[in-house]
Formats: sequence, C-alpha cells, structure tokens
Amino acid sequence: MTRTGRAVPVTGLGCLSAAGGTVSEMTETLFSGRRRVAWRVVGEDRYPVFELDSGSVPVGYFEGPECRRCGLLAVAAAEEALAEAALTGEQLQDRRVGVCMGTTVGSAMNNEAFYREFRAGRMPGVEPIRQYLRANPAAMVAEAFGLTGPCQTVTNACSSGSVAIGHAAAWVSSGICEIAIAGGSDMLCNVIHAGFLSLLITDSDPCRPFDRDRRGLNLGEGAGVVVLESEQSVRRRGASIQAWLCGYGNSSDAYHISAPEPTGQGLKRALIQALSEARLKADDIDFINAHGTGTPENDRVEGRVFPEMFPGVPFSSTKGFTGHALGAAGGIEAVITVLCLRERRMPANVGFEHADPEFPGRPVRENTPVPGSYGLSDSVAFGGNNAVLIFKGAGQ
Amino acid sequence: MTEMPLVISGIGLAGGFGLGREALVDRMNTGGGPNGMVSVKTESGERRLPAYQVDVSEVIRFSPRGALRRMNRYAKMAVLGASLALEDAGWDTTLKRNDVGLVIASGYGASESTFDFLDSMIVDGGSCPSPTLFSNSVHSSAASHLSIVLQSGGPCLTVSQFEMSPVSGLLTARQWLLEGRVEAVLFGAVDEICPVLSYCYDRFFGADACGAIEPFTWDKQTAVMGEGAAFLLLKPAGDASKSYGCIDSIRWTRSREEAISADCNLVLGADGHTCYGRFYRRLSKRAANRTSYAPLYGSLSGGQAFDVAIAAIAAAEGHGAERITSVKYDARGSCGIISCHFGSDPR
Repeated sequence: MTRTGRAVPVTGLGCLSAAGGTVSEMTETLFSGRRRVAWRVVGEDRYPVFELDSGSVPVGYFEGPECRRCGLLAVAAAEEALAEAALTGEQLQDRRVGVCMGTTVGSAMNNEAFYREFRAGRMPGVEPIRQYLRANPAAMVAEAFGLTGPCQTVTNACSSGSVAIGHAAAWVSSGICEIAIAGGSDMLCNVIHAGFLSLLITDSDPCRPFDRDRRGLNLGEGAGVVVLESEQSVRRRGASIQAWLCGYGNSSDAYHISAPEPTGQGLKRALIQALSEARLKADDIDFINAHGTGTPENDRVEGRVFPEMFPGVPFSSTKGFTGHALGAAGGIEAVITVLCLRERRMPANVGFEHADPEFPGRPVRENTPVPGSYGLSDSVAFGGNNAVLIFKGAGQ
Repeated sequence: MTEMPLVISGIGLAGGFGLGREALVDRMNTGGGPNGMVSVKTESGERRLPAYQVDVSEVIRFSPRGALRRMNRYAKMAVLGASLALEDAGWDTTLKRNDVGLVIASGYGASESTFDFLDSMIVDGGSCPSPTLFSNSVHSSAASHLSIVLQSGGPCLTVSQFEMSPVSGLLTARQWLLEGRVEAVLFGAVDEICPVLSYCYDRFFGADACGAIEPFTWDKQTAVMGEGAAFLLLKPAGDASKSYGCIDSIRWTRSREEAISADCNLVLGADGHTCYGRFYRRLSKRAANRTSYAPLYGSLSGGQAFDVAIAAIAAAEGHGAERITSVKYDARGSCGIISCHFGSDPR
C-alpha cells in the first residue's frame, strides 16, 4: 500500500469539556490533576458524569431544543479554533472550507419525549422532528460560518471524532478543500446513558482508566475541533502552525458488535497504518493519549498493545478529566495531544492507582515531560472501529 | 483537486423492486411503483400509505445463522446489498479482506432499533433496557455487522448527512483509493422505514400523498417512502476485472447549478418532494436530457447511490445513456454531483 505521507498543518484548536470551557482552561485542569465530577440519577442509582460547567455552555444551549446541543457545542469549539487560526468570516467566504464532525447523539433521532407520546398513541406534533432535521452537527457548523464546502457527519460511534479529523486532513491534502474544520461533538443524553448501563460497562464511581479495580466508564460531553489548512493557504496568509497532522489509521476488528477484539489485532493495524502514513517507526512516538475508557475490556487491549508496539513510550488516558464524550472523544483528545506537544508535557492518568496484573501497560501517574516531537491519539470504538492520529509539534 | 476515476466492479441492490439486477431490470420493463403499504395512526383513524419495502429473508444466503441472530433489519439490508455487489463482481478472491474499505451512507441510521431500544427503556422503567437493542441502535451497527460477516478488517465509515450522505461518503471512498489505503471500497447507502418515520411522513405530507411518485411535478408533494440498500464495489482505474464503467468525478456544491453541464444526461434525484423541487426545476429548464429513477425505488435519503447504480445497470442493459451526471439536492440547497461513464472502456 502506498501512502501520501503528506502532513497537514493544524492552525487552530477549540475545545470544551468538563475539564474546561476553552483550551486554556482545559490545559490548566489537566495539569492540576483536579477533576470535576457531577452526579446524575438514572433509575434508582446515582452515576458520576463529566458534564459541562453551566458557565461553559454556548448561548441558547439550555433554552433551545435539546437535539441542537451537539451542533451548538461543535459551533462553539469551531469558533475558538477559528479565532486561534486567525481566520475571519470574510476569509472563510473566500475559500473552499469543508466541515467534518463526528458524533453519536447528534445524529440519533431518539427524542424520548416525542416517542413517549407516540407510543402512547397521543399523536405528537412533528416540530421535534423538524428540529432534528436542522440539527446535523456538520451542517450546523457550515451554516454558522456560511461555508460552502463538503460536509460530513461521521457516525462511527466512539472513534467518530478521530475519523472525522483523519478524513478532513485527506480533503485538505488532496485539494477537495483549502481549509477543514474537523473534530467531534456530543452531549450527555439519558437514552445513551441507559444504553451504556444496559451493557454493564459504567462505573458507579469516578472512572479509573487502566487501574486493576476499574469497573467501567463515566459519560462526558463536549466538543473538540481542529482547523486543518493547506500549506499554500498557511503561507499565503502568514498563519501560525500549531502542529502537523502527519498520520492517520483506521481499521475494523470484524469481531463483535460491542466488544473489542481481545488481542488488539484491529488496533494494531490502525497503529501500523498511521505510522506508515507518517513515515515513522514506533520508537519515534514520544507519548500516547490513550482511549482508556476505564472499561475492563478496552483498557486490557490497549494495556497489552502499547507495551508490545511502543515499549517504554509513556501513555495516559484523559477520560478521568473529561469522561467518555463518545463521538466527541477523538476530537477532544486530538486537541489534548496537540496541547501536550505545545506544553511539552503530558498529564497524569487520573484515577490510576493499582497496576493490573493482566497486562503489562502502566499509564503515567504524574505529569510527565514530553521531550520529543510526536504525539499519538487512538480511539477504540463500539462495534470494533479503531482510529489513530499522529501529530507532530510545530517547529520541532 | 485530485480527480480519480473509480471503476464500478459490482452492484448490489435491495429495494422495493426486489433484489439484484434481474429484479430491477424486470421492474424497469414493467414500470416502477410501490410494492407495499404501511399503516399509520391519524386523527381520523388508521391510514394506509404506499411504500417501497425490502424483503430481507434472502440474507440467509450470505450470512451464518448465528450472525443473523442479533442483526436488525437495517443491518440485514446492508449485508444483502453488500453481498449482492460482491456476488455481482464474481466474489473477487484476490482481494485481501483487510484491503477492502467499507463506507455506509445513511440518512436516519437504524431507526427501528433506535425506537425499539426506547421501548425497552420505557417498559422497564429505565432499569434494564436491552443491551442488544442498544448495540444495534447506533448508526454504525450496520457497518459493524457487515465487517463481521465479511471478516473485513479495513477502514470503515458511516456517514449521516441526510440526502448528501452518498456524495459525502463517496468523497471518502475515492480518497481511500487515491491514497492507496485500500484496494477496493464497498460503498453503500442504507435506509429503512419504521413506524415512527411513517408517522412523521404522514404528519408532514399525508394529505398530499397520492401514491405514485411524479418526479417532474415540482409543485405537488408526490414522494413515496422507500427503503433499501444500494452498494457499489469500487476499485481504482486500471483494474482489469469486470466493470460497469467509471465514476469520473464527485463534487459537492451549494445551489450552483451552473456547475452542472446542461448538455449531459442528467439523472435527477427528484423524488416527489417539493422542498427541493425548486432546485431541480431550475436545473431542468436548462437540461437537454433528464431522467429520474426514484419511481423505481422510492424516496429515501440514500437515493443518489440508487441513481448511480441504476444508471450503470440501465446502460449495461442498453436502456440508458453511457454518460450521465447524477444530481442530488438537499433542502438547504447543497448539491451532490456525480459524473459517470459506462460501457466496456473503464479508461
């Protein structure tokens, strides 16, 4: 297989999650080691969740229809990313700009209130459906900024955000668009929460990625967006490059509808693909932002694959700060990977105390210096989809 | 922009006309139309609406029974469509499983399982809803089932962009082939009818529904719900295996019909919906030749994948043009343009 091996500049980052309403707030939280856990009652039990601080949510978030929230989060993260990229509305109109956003809740037509009325035979009005049809996250971003390029809402479950960034980079490198706004966006939703409870993979305590006693994930919400831009566009307008996206890999486990393939063969294929595209060897990677959900199965796979493929390379999961934001996770973690390259350090894997004897991988317990240039972020999704992004720090 | 022709090596169709090329050609010869009815509850009692529905029972031919046990109808349609495309291409055994990419484009995803899961939540008071229904309700479930049935470990994508899902997904399929990420892509559009969508359809359009799609009647709502799967096995140009022809270009524009050459044979995605009828009407005024295949398969988000597949089959059967441009609009005025040439010369 040949690969383009062409790195794509990242010129802007935008993010909001339980760890902060902006990239700088999130940076502060991640390196402080403090996490902000909220609790939600589902059925008869309380579960920890990582929800956005009320001060962080976009204007109209709670007032408008719930189905538009994912789109609003995506727009807010895109605004921050475009501001960092110093791209004005006028500049965007002059260029071919694409939008590629990952989500799960943002594309689901699971309006509980509407459906309760429907199944009770009360013939509900279809305004919620009309709103749903106007709430596609990628289309909302395109509309918010008046963009005319291609739009793609990726619904690959928990790898959606990473996949969206990988595809958008390909759009830019092949000239489909000059600039792409890409990432993921998702919101906390009772229906999805009930789904994860049904799978018995949620922890009733704050999550403990890679810990021996981990019992599952905690849900989170937010959005993470990067601005990807062609080198010509960057040169023409004298923009600053924050990082380079230099490798992307995507694979399927072809194993099970909800559980990961236990030996990690699928994940390894995605890792090898991303390294090959970046023209790197495994020992060129300086740190890994793991998917690390805190579920027994997920962490076991990564905890085996990382030491085997990347011996000695430090890794950590940031789900202990953000929760698992599903379709947004890959976007948020891509932003975190770039900010780690910028800060030249990676955060401690909060929630990890006891090593699991079932696998050799041990995440970092302390904030750890990142001396090198390359950071890797992986996503391991429900249904067996794996996605890997490799970033290179700017000027390194 | 890097253009690259994509060779169409196999086509798999599951729709209201039946399964596969023969059923489609038969319907082309006898005239299209809905093959079923769905019931919806209205203020004045139950109403029956015409619909194009798929019989998925033949999926057993392509999948082990064990794998079918937990597979919903949406995934079964995907497995049917994809398997028929591979069968049509002659089950190319030279293709390595991990070098085949899967792209699924869907407007609404696994809608029936989405609402079945809600049922299980509501009935059990939220305490123990069904994990199987939840797993099957996510949009990517069809792609996951398909990768398991085909044992395909390559890249996989599910796109949900309503009417623009097929063109958006095809951009990625081409990109994967262009980058050499895969040797072939199984690209397909899948959508299903469910009771909630039928109800919504009736609430939006019920009074206007007349039972037969009139694609070029712009001011009248004549859309008829459809479901199904349309799959294409795509390979890079130069592949010597069986070919229907090529997809030469894939473009996404916004309300700019001037980007579409009016002297070509236009396959319009006009499917009886007035909300985007105005875009097609404008384009139609300039078009030398136009056709719509929606009366064969119904109105559904993934219609553009059906259009390309049917145009290829029509050309192979001597019923259609050898060069076509498929055009699909969404209600916002976004436009997917897919230009193809068919025949024995894959360029």
